[in-house]
Parts: sequence; structure tokens; C-alpha cells
Amino acid sequence: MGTRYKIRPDTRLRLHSASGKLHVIAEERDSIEVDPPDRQVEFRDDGRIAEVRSKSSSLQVRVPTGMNVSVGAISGSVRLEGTFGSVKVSAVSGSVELDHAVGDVDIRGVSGRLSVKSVAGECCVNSKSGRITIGRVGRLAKAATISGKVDLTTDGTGDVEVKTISGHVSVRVPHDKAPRVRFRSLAGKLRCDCEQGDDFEVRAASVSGSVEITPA
Amino acid sequence: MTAQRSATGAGATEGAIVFTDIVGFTEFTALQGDDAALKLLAIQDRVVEEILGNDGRVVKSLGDGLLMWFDDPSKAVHAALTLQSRFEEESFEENLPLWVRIGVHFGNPARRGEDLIGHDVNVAARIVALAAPGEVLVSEACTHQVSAAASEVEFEEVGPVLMKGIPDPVSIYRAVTTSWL
Repeated sequence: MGTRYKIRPDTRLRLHSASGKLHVIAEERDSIEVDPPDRQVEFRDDGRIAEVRSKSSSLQVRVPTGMNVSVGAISGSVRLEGTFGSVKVSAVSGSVELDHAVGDVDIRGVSGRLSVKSVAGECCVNSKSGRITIGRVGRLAKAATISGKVDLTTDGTGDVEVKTISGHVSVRVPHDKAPRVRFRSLAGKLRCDCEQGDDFEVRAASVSGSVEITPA
Repeated sequence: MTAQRSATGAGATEGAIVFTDIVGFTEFTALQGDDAALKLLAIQDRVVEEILGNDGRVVKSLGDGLLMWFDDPSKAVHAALTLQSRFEEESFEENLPLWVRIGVHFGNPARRGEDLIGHDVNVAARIVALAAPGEVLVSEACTHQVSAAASEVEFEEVGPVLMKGIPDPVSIYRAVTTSWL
């Protein structure tokens, strides 16, 4: 059992974790609960920001569904379970895993795996070598990597923008949508198994990475 | 690009530190060869010369990256956004991946001859490592120094960032222009 803190409806959670496992669970509740209980929450900006710092041990925070969350991490994994509002995560070497966001998402890492199940808003994911997996995006989806593999699924309601140096990119689009595909590459190849049209745009650029666009 | 090209700001104690980095330059060189790499760097140098003018100076070249100094943080952020716009144009025209990320931080670095060193330089170097291709990331300290009305720049919060070797989290923002550059 952790320590509970009352929050405002518009409170944004900020977490800083140098290392260790960070687990945030969004669930039906109106407070936040921090475990281990000795980890202090600092409130700033009239309670609009709740800040928790963790140096090395594991940290679990339970938050209301739909809460906006920002996480800064160096190493160690970040797991965001449930449905959040907007999500911003930066991690150097650890992996990041997000279930769902109804707002915009910005995740950036260097070497860890970055994974998102679904985003209703805009989704930007950037990595150097980590694999990027984006399950479903309702609006603009942007992914950039040097060598990591990118798997992205879109609803076909927003554009898709992907940049890769050498990583393989796979974009899955709904059967009933026809994307306009713009592809620029020095040595990479494009394979598009979809009928092309004007429903939305897929913009992909690579140096040597290949891009594959297939029906979901 | 010569590191001692200009002495602008040599006496300033506070200002903006700007790092640039070409994304995937090592992979590009391995794939396309040294001549192509030199061509890419030459384009970058030409664009930087064109944009910097007397507002800033190149402190030194770091392989495929640059360390630059601006007395005026507003001019630094504006120059960074203009550089990105020009890099994108050149990428398209030359069909080369001049994908550059840029980090900007305001601080008070120590001077060592023409070079800059110190904590604020380290912070700026960490910021650029988090930027995506084509992106300008700016520290909160720098955003406080930028006159939004004068520079036609908006800042979107990216979040608190922990950086290796930097004890406290740094709040980072993405700079976007509100006007056509």
C-alpha cells in the first residue's frame, strides 16, 4: 500500500527516474498513490504539477485514468499501463511501454525499445537504435530512427511521417483506406501493397532502410 | 568551416550555446563513401555561413556536428530554426539526407581560448542528443531569455529530462516558428 495524495483534475504528473523500474498505472480513481510510501510528492504551480523523483529503486504510481504524464528517465524501464491523457517520455537506454493515450504522445529514447499500443492524438517517437512499435494512431504519426526497426499502424485519419537511416520500416494501413505515398531514399526500397489514393499521406525517407506499406 | 571565423561575442559572459549534429552521418558515410560525406559537410558549412552572419560564431567543428555561440539567445533560436528550414531545402534539392538535430541552451560557459567548456556546454550537448531530425530543442533557461514577440517563436514543452552526469532534471522545449522563415 502506497501513500495517497489528493490532486486537482488538471494536475500533470512529472516523474524523474535515474534508474530502476518505473511503473505508472492509470485506473479509476481521483488521487495518486505512490509506492514505496516514503517517496515524496512535491506539488508545484498551485498543484497543477505533481513531481516524484526516484534515484535507483523501483517506483509504482497509480493515477486517475486520463491523467497527463511526463517522465524523464536515464536507464531502467518505463511502463505506462492503462489510458492516459497526453504523455511525454524521454529515456536514454531504458525501454518505454505505453498502453493508450487519448491526447498527444512524444516519446524519445536512444537505445531502448519504445512501444505504444494506441494514441488518439498525435504521436511522435524518436530513437537512435531502439526498436519502435506503434500500435495504432488516430492523427499524425511521426517516427524517426537511425538503425532501429519501425512498426507502425495507422487509422488512416492522419498522415504518417517516417525517417530512417538504415532501419526497416513497416506501415500498416486499414483495408478501406488508400494512402498517397511519398518515398525518398538513396539506397532503400519501397514496397507498397496498398492501393494508392488521397485518403492520407505516408511520407517516408531513408538512406538505406526499406519501407513496406501493407494493408492491416 | 573555421573555428576562428569570427570573434563575435568573445567578451560576452552569458549567451546561447548551440550544438548541431547530422543524424546518421556514420551510417551515411559507410554506405555512400567519404566523398559523399564531404559533400554533405560542405553543404552544411555553406548553409551555416549563410545563416550565421554576424549574429553568432562557430566555436568548433565536431566531425559532423558544430558548436556555436550566440550573444543573443533570441537570435540563436531564430538561427537554429532558419538552419533547419534551409537544411530541409538542401536535402530535397541535393537528394542527400542532411537531417540535422539542434540543441540550444542559455548559460555562462568558461572560455578556453576560442573554445567553450563547462557545465552549460555539457547540458547543451545532452540536449541535442534528444532531438529528432529537423528538430530544435531548447532548455527552459533559454526560453526565459527569448522574447517571443521579437523572435516569432513558440515553445512546446517536451518534458523534464534527466541527463547522464547532470544531477537535476532539465526542462526541454521544442522550438517552432510562428512565421514563415
